Amino acid sequence: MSLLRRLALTGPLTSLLLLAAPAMAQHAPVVIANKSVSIDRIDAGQATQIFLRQIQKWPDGIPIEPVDIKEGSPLRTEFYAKVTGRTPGQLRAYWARQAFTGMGFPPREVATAADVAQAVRAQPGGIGYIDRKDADDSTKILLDTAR
Amino acid sequence: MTSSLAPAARAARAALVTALAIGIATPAAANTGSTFAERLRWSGFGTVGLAWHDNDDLGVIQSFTQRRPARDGLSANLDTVLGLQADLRLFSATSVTVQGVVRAGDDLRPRLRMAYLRQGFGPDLALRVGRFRSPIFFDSDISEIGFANLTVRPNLPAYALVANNGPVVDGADLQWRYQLGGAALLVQGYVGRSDYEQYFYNTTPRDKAEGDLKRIRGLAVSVSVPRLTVRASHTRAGQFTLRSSRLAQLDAGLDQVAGGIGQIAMNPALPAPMQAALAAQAAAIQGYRTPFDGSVSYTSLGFDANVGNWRLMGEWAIFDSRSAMIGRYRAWTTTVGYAIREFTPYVTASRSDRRSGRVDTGALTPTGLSPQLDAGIAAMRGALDDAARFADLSTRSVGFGVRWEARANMAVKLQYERLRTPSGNHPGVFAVSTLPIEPTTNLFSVTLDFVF
Repeated sequence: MSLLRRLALTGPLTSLLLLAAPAMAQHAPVVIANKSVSIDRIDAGQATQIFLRQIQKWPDGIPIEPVDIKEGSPLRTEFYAKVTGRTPGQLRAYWARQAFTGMGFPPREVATAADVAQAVRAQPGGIGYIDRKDADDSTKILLDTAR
Repeated sequence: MTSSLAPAARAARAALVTALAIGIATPAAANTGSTFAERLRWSGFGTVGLAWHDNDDLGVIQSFTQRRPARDGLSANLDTVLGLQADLRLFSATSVTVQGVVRAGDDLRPRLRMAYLRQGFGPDLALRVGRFRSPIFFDSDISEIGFANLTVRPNLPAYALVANNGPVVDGADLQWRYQLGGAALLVQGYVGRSDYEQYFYNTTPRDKAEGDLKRIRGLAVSVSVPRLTVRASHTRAGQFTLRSSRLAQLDAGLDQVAGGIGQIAMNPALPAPMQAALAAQAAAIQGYRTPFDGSVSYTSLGFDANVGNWRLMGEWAIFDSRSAMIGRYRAWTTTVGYAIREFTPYVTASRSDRRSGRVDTGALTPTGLSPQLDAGIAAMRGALDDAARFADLSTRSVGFGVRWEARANMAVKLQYERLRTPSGNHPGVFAVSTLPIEPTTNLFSVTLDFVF
C-alpha cells in the first residue's frame, strides 16, 4: 500500500482525533493554595489524595479545604485526568461510594475558576486549581501540571 | 432487618431522635452561621435493573434476605433499588445522617440502612453512633449502590456468604486517618450487632428466620496511595443465632428423641455399658439443637487500582461460622476493566468453596429398642441431613460486561455471568427449593444506575 493511500485512509481518523484533542489541550491547570499554607510544593500523588479527601490536614495541622470547579468544566476534567488519572465517571463512582456509606463528601464546588481563586484566598488551608494564565500573587502555586 | 426493632436499633433511633431534636432546637447562628436549609443535604441513589436467566430449578438472589428471588425469565427483583439520604450538619463537626432504601426483591418495604450521629474530633478522627453500613468485605457497604460499582453488583459467590449481605451494623465506629509517608491510612474500628430476616427457600411454605449477629467487633485498615487502595479487615460476631418456627420444631423433635433415649438409658434392666452408650447418644443428639448457631468471623484482603485506563480489583476472603451446619468458606473475586472514553468493558470472576465437611449426624442411629423412637430418630436425621444438603454455598462465576457513563449521574451496564455450583446436589448461593438442580446458570443483566 502506498504512503499516499495509507494517508488517505488514516486521514479521517486523524481528523477526528485532532477535533477531539483541543478540548483537552487548552488548559494548563495549576494547583493553588492559600498563602498561609505551610508547604510550597506538592506532587501529583499528594494532590490526588487531597482532592479525594484521603488526606484532610496540612503538616501543621490546619484542615485542608479543597475547592472544585463544577462538573462539566473542561479544566476540571483535565485536572483530574492529569493529576489523578481518573475519568469523570470513575470520580463520580468514587464519591458515590464515599457519600452513601457515610465516609465523606466531595470538595465544595464553585462555578468558575475565578470563584476557586477567591475561595482559596479567603480560606486558610484552602486549595484549588485554576488555569495557569489566571494565576497571580494572591495565592501560591503548589503544583504545575505542565511541568 | 426485622421490622420489630432490636434493642440496639432502638438505641440508634433514640440517639438519632435526640440529635435531630438538638439540631432543630439549636439556632443556626449558634453553631455554623448557616441556615437550616443550608445545613441539610438530600441525596439519593437507585438502580432500575432487569435480570434474565435460564435455570428453572432456582432463583437468583443477592443474599438470603431477599424475599422475592429472580426466577427464570425476566425479573426486576435482583437489582432494582431506590435509596434516599439526608445529612444534617448540626455543628461544624457534628452531623446526623439517615438513609433508607426500598428494594424490588423485598416488596418495596422501606428499610433503614443508616441512622447515625457523627462527631468529628479534628480532621483525623470521627465517631459514629447508630446504624451504619457494615464494612465486612471490601464492597459490602456498596453492595446495593450500583452507581458506585463498576460491575452490576459485587460478585455473588463471595458476597452472598455474608450472613445478611452485610447491609448494616447497629453500634458505633471510630475512624482514624493518618498520613504515613506517601500513603493515606484509614483505620476503622466498629462494634455492635445486626439482626435481619433470612429465608429458607427449600421449605413449603417458605420459612422465614430471624438472624442475629451479636457482639460484633471489627477492624478495617485501608492504605491508599494515589492509584491504589488496599484494605484488610477482620470482623467477629461473638454470637450468631438463627431462629424460626421450623427450627423450633426441629429443636423440639431433637429434645423428644434425646429425652426418649435418656429415659431408656435409665432402665435398670439394661446392661451398664448400654445405659452409658444410650446416655452419650442422648447428649450427642442434644448437641444438634440450634444447628446454625455459632460465632462467625469474616476476614478480607482486597484492593482497587487505577493504572492508566486500567481498573483492577480483587479480594480474598474467609468466612468461618464455627457451626458444623453452615461451615467454613474461602472465596476470591477479581475484576479487570479498561476505560475507553465513557465506556468501561470489564471481565470478572469469583469463587467460593466450602472448606469444612457436612455436619455429622451419626448420633442419630436407631436404638433397636423402640420402633416408635427409632422412627423419630430417622425423621430427625432426615431433617438434619436435608438441611445440611442445602447448606453448601460453594459457587463459582465468570462474566463480562460494560459500563457506560451515559450522563453525569447515570450509568448503564450490560453484564453476562455464568454461575455454576460444584454439582447438581450443591445449591450454591441460590434460592433452591429441591435438589438436585441444573448446576449452571446463565445470567444476563441490564441496569440503569443513578445518583442525585
